[in-house]
Parts: sequence; C-alpha cells; structure tokens
Amino acid sequence: MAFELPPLPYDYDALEPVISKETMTFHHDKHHAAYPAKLNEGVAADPKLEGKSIEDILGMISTLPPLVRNNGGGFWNHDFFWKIMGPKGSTQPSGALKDAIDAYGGRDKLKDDFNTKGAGQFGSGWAWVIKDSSGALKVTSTPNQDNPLMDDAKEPGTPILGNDVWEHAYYLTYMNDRPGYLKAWWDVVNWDEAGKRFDAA
Amino acid sequence: MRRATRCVLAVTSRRRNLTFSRGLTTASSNANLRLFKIPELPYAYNALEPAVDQETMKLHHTKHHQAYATKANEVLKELNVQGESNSEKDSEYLLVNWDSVISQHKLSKPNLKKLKNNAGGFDNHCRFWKMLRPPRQQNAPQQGGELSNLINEKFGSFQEFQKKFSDSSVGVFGSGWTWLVQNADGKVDVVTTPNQDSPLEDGARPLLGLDLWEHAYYLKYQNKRPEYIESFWTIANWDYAQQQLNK
Repeated sequence: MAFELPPLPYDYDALEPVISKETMTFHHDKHHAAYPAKLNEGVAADPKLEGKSIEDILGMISTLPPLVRNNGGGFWNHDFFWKIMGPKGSTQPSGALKDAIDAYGGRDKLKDDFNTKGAGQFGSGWAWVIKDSSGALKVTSTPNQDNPLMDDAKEPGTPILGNDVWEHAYYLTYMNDRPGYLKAWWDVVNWDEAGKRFDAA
Repeated sequence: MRRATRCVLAVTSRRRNLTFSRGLTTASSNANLRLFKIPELPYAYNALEPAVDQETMKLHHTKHHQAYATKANEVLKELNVQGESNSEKDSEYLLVNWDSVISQHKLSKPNLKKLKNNAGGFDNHCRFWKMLRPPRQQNAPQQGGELSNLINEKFGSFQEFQKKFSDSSVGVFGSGWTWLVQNADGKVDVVTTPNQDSPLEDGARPLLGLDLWEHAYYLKYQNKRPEYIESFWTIANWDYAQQQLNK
C-alpha cells in the first residue's frame, strides 16, 4: 500500500486572493507531489515499515532516517494543510473549539501568538495550533517538515491548525513579507475542519 | 569620574581579557563589533541575468539581506555597540569568536538566537554577492592555478567537484547553503550549512557559496532547484574564490 498524493479538496483558485492559483498549483502538484514518491522509497527500504499508516510512522520517526522523516512529515503536513483551509470567510469557530479558543484568551490572542511563532520560525517550517494532553490549545512551531505528531516533538500534541512558512508557500505573492502572509491566511482557515479535529483529539 | 574609571577598566580588560561578572557592557568587549550596514552590490541588479533575475536580486539584497542587518543591529544596539561597518570583517569576528564574545554580555536566549541567525545571514550575503559575477561560458578556476589543483586533489577533477557541489545543493532540505571551503589544513571541501549558519563557525574559509533558501530562486525557478544550481556554474566568481585562499 503505497502512499499517494491526495487531490486538493477544492479548485486551485478556491483560496484566492489569499493564496493564488499559481501558488496552489506549484505547491500541490510539485512540492507536495515530491513527498509521497520519496516516502515510498524510504518505506520500501525498511521491512518494519510495511503496511504502517503515516501516523504510525510519525510516532516512531526518531528511529528512522532523514529520508523517511523529511518526506513522511512533508506528506502528512501538506495533506493536513489543504484540509484545514477553505474558501475565504466561509466558516467560524464553534462548539468545543470555540470554548477552547476563549479559554486560550480569545481569537485575536491566538492569531497574534500563532503569527509571532510563524514569523519567528527561522528558515523553513510550520506554525501550529495543537490540542495538548491536557485538552488545551497551544501554539507551537517546528522546523522543516517536522510536526507535533512526531515522537521527538519538543511540544507534542494533535494539530488543529497549521500554516506552512516555507518560502514556497507564499513567495510568489508576498515575497519577503511573511508577516503579511501570516495575517492574511486566517481568512482561509476552515474552522469546521479544525473543530472536527479538536473534537476527535 | 565614572567615565575615567570605565576607561581604566576597559584598558585593563583588553590586556588581561577579563570578564566582568556583573554583566557590565564595556568598551573593550565591543572593540571588534560594529553595527551592520549592507554593502552595495558589485554589479547592477540585472547583471546576473539570465541565471538570476533582476527582481530576485533586488528583493534578495534590499529586503532579505537588509532584514538580517536590521535584526542583528537590534540586538547589537542593546549591547551599546558603536559605529557602523559594511564589511563582513566584523560579522566574521563575531561568528569566529562567538563563545568568547557572548560570554562578555548577558543576552537572553531569544536574543542570542536572533543575533546568531541574523549575523550569520548578514555575513553570508556580504560574501555571496562577491562570490557571483556576470555570466560567462566555460566558467572555471584558472587551469594549473592553486585552487584548480586543490580541487583536483580533493575531488579528482573539476567535473567531479561540480557533481559533488550540485548533488549536495539538491540535497539541502529546507533552508541552507552549499559551500566550497578551505579548511585549516589547506585542503578544500564541499560542505553544507543549515539556515544561516556559516562555515566560519567550524574554522573553514568560505570560497564560494550557493544560497539555497527558496527566496534565492523561487520567482524564476519555483520548485526547479536543479536548474538554478545548473545556472550557478555560469556565474560563480572563481577570481574571488582564488583570492580567498590561504586567508
């Protein structure tokens, strides 16, 4: 059972103007597409990985080589990324997630902390909102294609939201203005999907 | 009175290399530090076309390189660093003597990281502009010259060196650089560094470097990093690399 590139859950222009059709096309069809192919290579080379889910693999990632870590992380992260986004302004936080956001200090505080983490992640990486073991929301960031599901994550938890701050995620539109991208990105967050993940975690 | 005392302490510390335990910032501990100012490019923004496009050069220099200088200076200003320099001599001093310089100051962990990352970024880019030149065909180090000989000794041939450098560049995951360096033993090697780390930190002299952060190539090449790497061979400044030998 090889890992396959999932299709986007919407059209390539669905996240305009926040994320351009051009960026979505390169990001999904080129960057994301490269990860499953290399991941499969890494899995094929290691008999104990046969038949394992991507989550299982992430759960033992500290024992696995960079090829599997980087491409396993990249594969999972981008699959998650497309799902927790949606057309501009179509959803709002509700239910248990909304309560958790209030407990965190409110939506603006969550956004500010997340944007600060994202801007401060030097080099390539991701900013995350996670549900930690106490059930609370936390804002973290990881380098490269690492994520909070990895067994050696400094701040482990279940990802609820995540934003890709590799330059390829925003450069064609925002160029050096990563803070501008981080600010604009909240308009395409799919709160329904985030809520589902919060409830399931 | 206080000023005179500080001068005496500063002179003493320069001679005896004292560390002031109360965390006072002294003139001597900053003697080799200056605020960073980005240098001008040695050529026009469009001079590296078609290998690197004009728009990328403009953004890379006036936004990215500038941001490294600005952010490093934010920390240096807290240390009362005086004066300004647009040369990598000062950033090199800081990076090579990092442990001893920062032991003389009390910087928070986030500020240490901020200074290290951005001083590295400032230094790397000062060199990078000089490590590139307008494109030419059959671009290679002088045959029979010292650098050419060192490369052949280490890699077997210029082509094998190019392959090693290109393969390393493709393999840099995330942001980072590939470098041709000269080590303390005089031999050359190809190394990579993550983010804005510098080979200077490992005692190696950078001769040539290739910025593999996506901002260095994304507008023109997007995901096609191998094509960007290929184009580098037409603009690598072998004269500069030769000049940097044995420094």
